[in-house]
Amino acid sequence: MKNILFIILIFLGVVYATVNFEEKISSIYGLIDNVKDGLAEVTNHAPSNTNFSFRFLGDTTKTYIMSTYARYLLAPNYVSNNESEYDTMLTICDARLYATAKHEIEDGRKVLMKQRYNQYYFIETSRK
Amino acid sequence: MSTPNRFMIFMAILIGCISSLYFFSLLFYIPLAITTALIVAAAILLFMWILPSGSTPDNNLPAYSNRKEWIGIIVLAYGIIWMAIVAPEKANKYGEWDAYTIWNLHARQLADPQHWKTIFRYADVHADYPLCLPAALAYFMRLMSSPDSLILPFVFHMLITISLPAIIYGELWRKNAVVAAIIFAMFPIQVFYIFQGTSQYADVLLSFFFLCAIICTKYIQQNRKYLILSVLLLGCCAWTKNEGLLLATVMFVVYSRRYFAKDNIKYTLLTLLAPIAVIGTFKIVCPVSNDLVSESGTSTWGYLLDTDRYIMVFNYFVLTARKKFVYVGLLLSIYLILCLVRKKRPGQEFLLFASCLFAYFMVYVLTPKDLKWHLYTSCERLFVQLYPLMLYAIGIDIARMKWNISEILQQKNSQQQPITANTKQKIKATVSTNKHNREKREKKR
Repeated sequence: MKNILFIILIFLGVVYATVNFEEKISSIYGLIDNVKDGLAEVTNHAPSNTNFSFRFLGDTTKTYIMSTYARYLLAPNYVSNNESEYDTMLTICDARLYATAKHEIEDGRKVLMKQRYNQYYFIETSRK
Repeated sequence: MSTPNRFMIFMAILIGCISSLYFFSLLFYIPLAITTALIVAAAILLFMWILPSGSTPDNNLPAYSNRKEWIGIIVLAYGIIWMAIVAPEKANKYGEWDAYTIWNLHARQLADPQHWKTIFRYADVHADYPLCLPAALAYFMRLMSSPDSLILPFVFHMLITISLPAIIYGELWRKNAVVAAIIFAMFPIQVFYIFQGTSQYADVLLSFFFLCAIICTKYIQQNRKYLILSVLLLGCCAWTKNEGLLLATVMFVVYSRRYFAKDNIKYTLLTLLAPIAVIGTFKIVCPVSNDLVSESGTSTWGYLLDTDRYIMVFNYFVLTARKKFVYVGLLLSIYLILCLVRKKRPGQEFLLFASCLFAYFMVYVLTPKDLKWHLYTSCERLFVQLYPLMLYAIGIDIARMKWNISEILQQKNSQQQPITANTKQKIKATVSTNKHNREKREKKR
């Protein structure tokens, strides 16, 4: 068999699939993209050894998913659900709940970053 | 072995090599430039060692006409294009669940040389998983300064997803072009395989390493470098996933006559030192133990007598095969009927497949986790790991069968006819010629 052609075909297949994949992902915006945009500023200013304590206020069935997204997007920072081992607290709050939860979120902490992206508020606060 | 297949085996070994060197560079604070220099040097050496055909030249294989060669290329191109079209459609932007909760998360952690050990602080992200895939990805992320890249993991997995059927095709094509084409077609038409390939999990990579190791064992007698490569590839299996360790063990048992033959044992044991050094170091560095091992106790052995567990695992295996691998049952039935009709025992590759399946079966029977949950979350992926092996085992066995009617008749006649003095002389002559040739080859070596 034409040896070189065999290998070239494999690489061409990968290139073709990648081009299609790139086209596809540029038109998709999901929940994880929303979280990514919301955390963009945090990832810019937080040093990579920051220990985040994560909290999600909203649909409770999404809590685990949201913490997983945050973990992935903020890596190599450590994102914990345990409040005792954190430097800063990271809260993602459903915009509809924000007005009532504001006191609970800030509660004597210094707000380091707060911004809204679509459905959620992303708030980074200091240690209490 | 054909040149493209040697190239793919080079690729597989290189992935293992990159991840191991990168892991050690993190451990010993070696700068990226030096690591890259080491990787380039290793790549050149491996290329020069693996690519030359040595004493197994391609011309040992039957020559096909130019037209047939082109038909072979067209079939390959058709399959690859099919996969290249379907894969992006099936692929998720960030991969599937385990991709961003385990594999790509680990890769992102490992891409930071200062804080990569954060990985071990998480109790619930399987920090005990070996680092072959994440370390290789992390190396390229650092090299391209793009830990956020979504393309990089996709390219990596796509390369493996296409290479796996291609290596089977390359192996079977010379033996039986039709069988090779049918087996190759089983990959693109099996959408679940493509989906798993682009899900950015480690299962297809593990399967690729395992299959490469099996293919290498076929050439051990012709050239010892394939023995070394095979052992290294089994090491890569164990370096990719904990299941890889189980697969490697089963392989060593089934192929013990080859690995531990008098002439080979010292090469096998010496080569094993390399993967043991890498995996052993990882196990020492990683403070997290495997959940299945740590959770199992003496009570687990009581599960051996629980027939309900056997029935449940068996039913789930059948259900998964029927649901996710639609054509498997049909192909398996055809193969077993052919074996019965031809009065032929399944080959060693099929025995290996059956042993691996049995090993996985027993893992489920003995699992300390909730059995239903464990089956639900992992059974499909384990099947993906063994799917290429099964197809290869069936393909190679069918390809070995004689399909030319005159050949079959000749074989039947020779079985029926009593051995005459003339035939005896012919056999003697063939034996002495073979012996002479063997001696010549050994002298050459």
